[in-house]
Amino acid sequence: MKKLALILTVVLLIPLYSEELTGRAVMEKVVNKTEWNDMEGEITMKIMVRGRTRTRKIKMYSRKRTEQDSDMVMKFLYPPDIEGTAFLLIEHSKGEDERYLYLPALRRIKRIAASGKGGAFMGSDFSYYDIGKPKLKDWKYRNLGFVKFNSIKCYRIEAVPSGPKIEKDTKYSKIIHWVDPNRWSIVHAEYYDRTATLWKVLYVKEIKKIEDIWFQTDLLMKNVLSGSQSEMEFEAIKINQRISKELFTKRYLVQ
Amino acid sequence: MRKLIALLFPLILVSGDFHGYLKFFAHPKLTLPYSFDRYGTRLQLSMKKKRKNIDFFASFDFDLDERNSTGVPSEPRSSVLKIYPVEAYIRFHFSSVDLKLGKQFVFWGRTDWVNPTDNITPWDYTNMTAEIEDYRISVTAAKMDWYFGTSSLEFVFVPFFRPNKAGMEITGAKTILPEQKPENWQEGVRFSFSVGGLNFSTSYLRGFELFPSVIPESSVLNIEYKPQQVFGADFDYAIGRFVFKGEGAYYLTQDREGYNPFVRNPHLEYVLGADWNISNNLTLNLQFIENRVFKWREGFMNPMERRKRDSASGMISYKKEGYYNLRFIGIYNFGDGDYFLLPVFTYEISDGVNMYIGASIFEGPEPSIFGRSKKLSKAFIEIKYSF
Repeated sequence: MKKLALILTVVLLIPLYSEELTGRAVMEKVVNKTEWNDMEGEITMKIMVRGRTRTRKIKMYSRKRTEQDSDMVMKFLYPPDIEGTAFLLIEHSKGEDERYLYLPALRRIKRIAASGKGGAFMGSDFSYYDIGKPKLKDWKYRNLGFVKFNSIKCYRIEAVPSGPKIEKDTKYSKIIHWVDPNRWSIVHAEYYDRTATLWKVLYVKEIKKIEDIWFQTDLLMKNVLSGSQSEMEFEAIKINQRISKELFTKRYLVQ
Repeated sequence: MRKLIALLFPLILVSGDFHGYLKFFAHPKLTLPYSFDRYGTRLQLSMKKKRKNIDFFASFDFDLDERNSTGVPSEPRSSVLKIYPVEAYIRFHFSSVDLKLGKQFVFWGRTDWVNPTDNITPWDYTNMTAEIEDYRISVTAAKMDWYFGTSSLEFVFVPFFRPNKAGMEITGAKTILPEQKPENWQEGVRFSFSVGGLNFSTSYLRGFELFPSVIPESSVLNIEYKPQQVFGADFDYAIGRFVFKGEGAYYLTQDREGYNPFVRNPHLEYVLGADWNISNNLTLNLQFIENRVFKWREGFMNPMERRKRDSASGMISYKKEGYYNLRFIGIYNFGDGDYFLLPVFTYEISDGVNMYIGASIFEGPEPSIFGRSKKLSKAFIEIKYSF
């Protein structure tokens, strides 16, 4: 009888144990599931405002320069009037990030001011924070338990900024992530503005396994306050291609 | 030139790798009877070829002006097809060196609209409209960039001088361009480096003034472009939502002692300002500009000169991505009260199709810098389809 009780206790505790993963532990699995040093891909971005859809195609390269700092370069491929426009971001964990924009019409590289992590990425509904890798230390996570989302049993994780600077920078007071524990990918998210009002909702339309790593390859962000929405589709993703560091320079922007 | 274009045009078409745009433009004057300064259509064809470490780029404009009264007043107002190259160059890439040969734009400096160090590529003040390509004139040059670490060294040689197109021709005056000989090549060098987030450049140019000096000789007026040396420096630095920038140059002109009233004295011009990224959509740029003339000698100065001229420039831009962009640019001279305004509204009709509506306004007392250019004021509407 004691044996049966012990077995029952163990069996009952297994799911409880898995639920007891802390919010931080879940997000660690999401954020650190892949080790990449560089990445390239093509992005098709559709910006939908007031019934109009505008399409942008971008070639993107990214690399980790140091453990904390990354570089990213993007070149517009479409539409033709902005083809050749290029953007370079050089992150500095200590100090200001460097941002440069090459506008072919001006034939000049212009240094541009940072708009914070909460700034709109290429004028879309995605912010720079949304498309970047989150820094775990910037957030306090809480596991809100399991919930079914599109018939997937997901962790529901609440993230609140670790301090007012992060809140001001990202413009988020809270984010709720739905995390698929089988792929350790975020499948859905809700973003709340600084007045705690629901601001944006992320729909992950496709997750693909590329080189043994699950990537979100189709993301739709809806701004529930303005009614606008943006979709980003990733194609031709390649990782760890030993991308030349020369690509992440102002010299490359004009070529 | 027409032969060259005739040779290149089939090449562009055969290559299949061409792009460009088709633009309709209408530039009515801002004063009665609102006649058209320009009214017509442009086809721009560009070809880009990349082969290993060599790029070839050529871009030609085919302008069909139904009306064109800019520049020379005696130019007939008739339907004229003009074909001219915008850029045409070959660029070689080596491991740390780029070499660019041919017709190209060479822009120096970091500030906006007023660039004291930018004295190679001339302006076309008669065609100030929505897009910079329409009012900057490319030059035939050899340009070499040598990159090392976070620094670069740029060498520029411009064998043939091209002046600004100022639209202020004097009837009966004789224009004298610098003689084409090696001594009159323009030569420039610019050293740029970055340290701790600060970008900095120093530059030197031996060339000619882009604006002419008007010199009376016997009974005629000569329009001459005098030699000058320009020693420049510029920087930018970003803090949060601000980019601070500055640029200055000392111009060592031909009239070094200031005794010739018809030739500019040595002078210094500098610009200090900042960009402020107010929000995702809204950016503001404000700059202070000062020009100081040295060797000032009363009685020996051109009446249009000012010993010290303070100005301010500003640009405010509101952009709704994929929808519209409203940009307002202004320069104001405090002393004479003259100003230049360039409001431009850009509406994105669909992917690659844009409409530009705006005006370039020169205003002020007659002898002032912008007051003299009043007749160049115009409105513009342009519709551009890029392919």
